[in-house]
Amino acid sequence: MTRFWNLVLGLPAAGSSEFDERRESFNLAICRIVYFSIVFLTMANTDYFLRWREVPESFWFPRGVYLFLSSPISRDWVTLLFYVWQLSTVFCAIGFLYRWVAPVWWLSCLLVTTNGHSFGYQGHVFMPVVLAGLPLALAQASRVLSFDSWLARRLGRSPKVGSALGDRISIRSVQVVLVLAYFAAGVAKLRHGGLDWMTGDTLRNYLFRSSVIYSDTNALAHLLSLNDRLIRFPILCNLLAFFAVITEVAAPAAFFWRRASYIVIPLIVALQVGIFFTMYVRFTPYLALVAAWINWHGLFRWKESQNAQLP
Amino acid sequence: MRVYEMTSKTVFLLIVLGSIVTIVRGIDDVFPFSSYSMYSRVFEPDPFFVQHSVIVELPNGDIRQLATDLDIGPFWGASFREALLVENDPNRIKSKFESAFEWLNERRIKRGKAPLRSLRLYRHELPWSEFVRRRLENQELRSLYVENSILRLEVRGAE
Repeated sequence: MTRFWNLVLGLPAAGSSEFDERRESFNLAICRIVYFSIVFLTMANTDYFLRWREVPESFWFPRGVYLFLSSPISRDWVTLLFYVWQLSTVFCAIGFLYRWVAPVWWLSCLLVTTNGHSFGYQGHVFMPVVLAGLPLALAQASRVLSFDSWLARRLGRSPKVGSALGDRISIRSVQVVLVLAYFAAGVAKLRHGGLDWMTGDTLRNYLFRSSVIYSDTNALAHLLSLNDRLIRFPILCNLLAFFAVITEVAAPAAFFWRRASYIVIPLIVALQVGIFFTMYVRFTPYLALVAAWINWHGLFRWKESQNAQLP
Repeated sequence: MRVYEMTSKTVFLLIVLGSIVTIVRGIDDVFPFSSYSMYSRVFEPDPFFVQHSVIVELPNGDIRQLATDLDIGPFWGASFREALLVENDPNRIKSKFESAFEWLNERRIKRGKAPLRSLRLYRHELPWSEFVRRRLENQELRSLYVENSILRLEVRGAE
């Protein structure tokens, strides 16, 4: 069992001395700040999820937690849940009463976003981000760099003793959501399309169609219309299809081998940017998950050592 | 601390096992709460491109494709179509179509705009060679849909 958890934690089988609490709590805290800030900026900051309360009831097509409801929840409930979610996202970002607020945040987030997916249109962008919020919501992510830790210091309370193991697993859980989301997408392509998905004109046809299908979204990407240029080169489209499937299927490698993550995670981000400029689907909420892949502590230590070398 | 570590481990296992089960069994819409079969099917629509389009008739008689500039949020053009056709039941589609027309007009009236004259659902089959990847003007839309497509549904407002 220890070997399994060492693998999950990204440690050598025999354990490691590099596992320290300060680093883990710092990484988790920065991850919390970045995650909730991105969720706020890309999901909770607009009224997109609030506006589903206006859609006619006849469109009701329940998903997830609403599967057993024959009609939508009341507009007042949607309004209340939305504002609880919006406010608690900010509270979580600053680490305000995090232990109590974060579970409320996750529950309201799940209910609001699932409601938005229960009118017949199933998006692919938001739900993995919601799932990744669960380990963060249950983590002790406000021990440092938070309002809670600041208040504890002001009141002269001794700092909370944390668990490096718990912190690390929470971050690894966010990481695993990202790689599994891509892995599942790669497997789906191989299962439904097989090699034909890469060797045929499938991607080219999707690119061909996307300008029309998504003509009224993501105006920034339409300025470049890269898909219009790409479809002139069928072989390039095939190469991109191979690139997409290989990146997706290889995504779990990033979880098990640190060196692989240096390649795979940037490729995943490149894939997201590419999809935005060619298929007009915006994956910016996924950046919240990418935050868990950055060694923030190492980055700050490196910055400190650079500053120390300055005359 | 023990509780925290146990909770973290349980959540991790829940995510991994849930994902593996859905990936292996090909379950698309349960875990993690979303469909993952995105763009996964081979797309070879040779020789025709088949599509359903929702067209509105504006108060001045012009026709337009239903899109975000017609205040259809939280939908946008393609997501409205997807939501409309998600269930292959003509009665459900009709009921959604009628309520959507009412809903859009209520919105327009609230904003001081004249109501739409009609809402139509067309099915068109277009050879790929004639596929135009740009926004079509009124006359082109009329030619493509009104004259050369199959009208599947229409809801008209009071004249």
